[in-house]
Amino acid sequence: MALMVQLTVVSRAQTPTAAVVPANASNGKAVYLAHQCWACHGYNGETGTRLLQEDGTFTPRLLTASGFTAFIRAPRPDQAPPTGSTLSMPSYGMASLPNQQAAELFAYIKTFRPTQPALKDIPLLEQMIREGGRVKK
Amino acid sequence: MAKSKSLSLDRRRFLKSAAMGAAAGATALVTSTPDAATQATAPTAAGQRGADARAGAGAPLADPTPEQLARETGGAVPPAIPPRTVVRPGSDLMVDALKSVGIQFVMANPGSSFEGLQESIINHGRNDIEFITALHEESAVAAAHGYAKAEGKPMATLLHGTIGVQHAAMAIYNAYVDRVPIVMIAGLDYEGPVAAHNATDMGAIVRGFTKWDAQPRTLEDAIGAIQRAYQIAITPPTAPVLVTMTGEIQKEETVGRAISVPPFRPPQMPAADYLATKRIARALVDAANPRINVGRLRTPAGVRLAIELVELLGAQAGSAATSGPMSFPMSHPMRGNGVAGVPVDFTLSLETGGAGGGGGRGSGVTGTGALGNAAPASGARGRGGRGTTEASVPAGAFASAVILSPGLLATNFNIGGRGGGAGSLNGLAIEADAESSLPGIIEEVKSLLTADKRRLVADRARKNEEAHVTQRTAEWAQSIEQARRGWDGSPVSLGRLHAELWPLIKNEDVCLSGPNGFTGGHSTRLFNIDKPYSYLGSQGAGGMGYGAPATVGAGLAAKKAGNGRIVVNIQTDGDLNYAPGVLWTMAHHRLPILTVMHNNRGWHQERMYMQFMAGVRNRGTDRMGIGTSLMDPNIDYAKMAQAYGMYAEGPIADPKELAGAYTRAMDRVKRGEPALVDVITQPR
Repeated sequence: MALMVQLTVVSRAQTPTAAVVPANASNGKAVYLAHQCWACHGYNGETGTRLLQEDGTFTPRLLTASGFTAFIRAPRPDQAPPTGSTLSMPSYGMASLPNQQAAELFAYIKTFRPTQPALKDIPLLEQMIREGGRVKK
Repeated sequence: MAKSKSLSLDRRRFLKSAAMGAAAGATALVTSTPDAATQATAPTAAGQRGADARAGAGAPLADPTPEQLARETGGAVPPAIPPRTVVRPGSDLMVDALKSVGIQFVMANPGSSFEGLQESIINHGRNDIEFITALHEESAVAAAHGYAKAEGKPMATLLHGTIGVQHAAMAIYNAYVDRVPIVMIAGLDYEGPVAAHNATDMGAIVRGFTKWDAQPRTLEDAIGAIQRAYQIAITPPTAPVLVTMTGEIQKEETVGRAISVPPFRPPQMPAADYLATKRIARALVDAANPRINVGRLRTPAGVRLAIELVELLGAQAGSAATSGPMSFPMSHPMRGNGVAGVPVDFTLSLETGGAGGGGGRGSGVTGTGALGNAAPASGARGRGGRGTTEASVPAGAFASAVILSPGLLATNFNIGGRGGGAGSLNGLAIEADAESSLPGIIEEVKSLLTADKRRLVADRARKNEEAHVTQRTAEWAQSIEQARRGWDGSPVSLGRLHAELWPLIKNEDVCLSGPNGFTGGHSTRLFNIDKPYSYLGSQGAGGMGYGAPATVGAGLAAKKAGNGRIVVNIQTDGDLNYAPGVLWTMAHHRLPILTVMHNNRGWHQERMYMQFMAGVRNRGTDRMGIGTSLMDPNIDYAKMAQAYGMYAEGPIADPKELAGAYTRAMDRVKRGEPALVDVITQPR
């Protein structure tokens, strides 16, 4: 379970005005693991709150790097934080996730590819569909 | 051999010499000389030594007497000293009382405060009430919780004094909120070695979340308390009860006393009254499109009655079966939302269901609102029509009715937080046991169904069935699509974890014992939920450490059924670690249980809560594994299970290995033993 190794490589030195170097997906993977994005989105963006949609494309939040960064900075810009426990998307300010790391995180997420074959290529699920489960006719 | 012979001969000679000595002593006793009299009062050892000396001097050896031989060979009859035994202890009668109410299992880890009762269960009762060995009182009560949900009746637990009751407290709270009946007996031994195990008022420890408790002072009262406890536990609202038994009355002798266990009289369940019964039946028969929302009923008999009523009316039915036991079968042709666009004009709701107990949030009753989905008739609000007459509220003037166990409408069964009813009480609200109310409603409906009405019912049933096939086909396709997500990914997706079980259990009689709240809900979407015990639902109060021990109770019910029923438990890792000793109980008692670990190596929901909190405070989420992870070191659940004596495989992170592991494990389970497969999973 190498994926589950806890990493602590996040730099906190960057400022909003610092020059942003090209995004490095490998660095982004470290961010994805260290910030435990997998907790909600799975290790490949396919489970839980999915980043990959059923057709293999990314959710609209992930269309552009700038849109992605804006979203994680303020997932609910017009709402006060709920007082009760919630499983909503956390917000990531500059202090916790500088722009450079946000860009690298975006680059890593964009490397995700679906692992799920088409339904017709999964014999077990095909059989389940055929047999009808709890659908009694 | 030579040595043995020699020893044997020496021994024979010794016996002869001993006999000679004894004979000499006896002779001396009957000789009336002063010397003889002196000898008679002298220590016999001296005389023995003298006799030995004479024998050793060449006197012939006499054979041992029959008495001597008997003593020597173990055949001697001991002197008739009256034994200090108790022939008919009070605890024997307690066992008889437990039998009288139909208790079949008692689960406990041993405690000196109830040693009398435990001994009676095993010896007097011949273990007919099977003693199930627990490793923790919380496990014992949680097992009883699972058993009651699978069976619709209580089992018993024994708790050792103050410490046992406190160990059990969390599980009792879960059962109380889940409205599950359990008969608990706490031992109290004033003569015991640890004074701190005693309490003046033992029940006070858990009185806030038990329905009733008693601390009888006499054996007669104790017997009555057991029967009374059972009555109260199974009377709606069903709940745990506690009887404290002192060691003194467990151990007292009852021989010679006119004391016996009276026959048990089951309680009269509170049913809807005559007027309410007639009004509901009339409304159901007159409705063009009635709906019956079936929540959690008390027993399998209640489920059969609900099915009968639904079929009698051709009504669409809502089910709480994916929230917990004793509800309407998910595959029944009438289960669904009826024909699209045809409004429901009368809804009858039977109890609440599912998680949260108490009738609080999300009553578990699916479909249209459980309470008050239409404007009420004046005067219809109230309890079972109390204060109203049939004339003042015309039949059909209300568009919904609910029958809820007493206490649940108003008080939420003493649990704070969310209110006792799901929504406002706009319809006819009846405080009664729905299960006991159904026979009357059914009979009344039958009497109202004219030939014309029966034709309408048949037509409605046909249309509902057709609509429901369409609805369920869509449901099924959606469920499979959800199972497809991340199919080949590693760690294993929860969808695949469940789907790979399907071919192995689709034709089996299965009880799904563990809650599905942390496992993606796949189990209640993919597997058959058609029997009263198909899915046992959640913890009740959300207390962790419930799933694994509740599975033990489900396993007891399955084993007792004796028809090949198996239990499948998708077990979360955090939950198992509260009291993993239940794995030993499963192995020891040969329970047919397949445990599949949903091993995401953490208290995952809490991790997500913490992440959100860190985000709100802009402090970063990269340290939110602290206190929420079960990593470093990773826990090897296969080895854990093996250590407790159970067949186990894993950890498995490659989904392609699942089918083989499941097949091998299921082979064990079908042979009547537990097995565990440890699966490393996606978090959600």
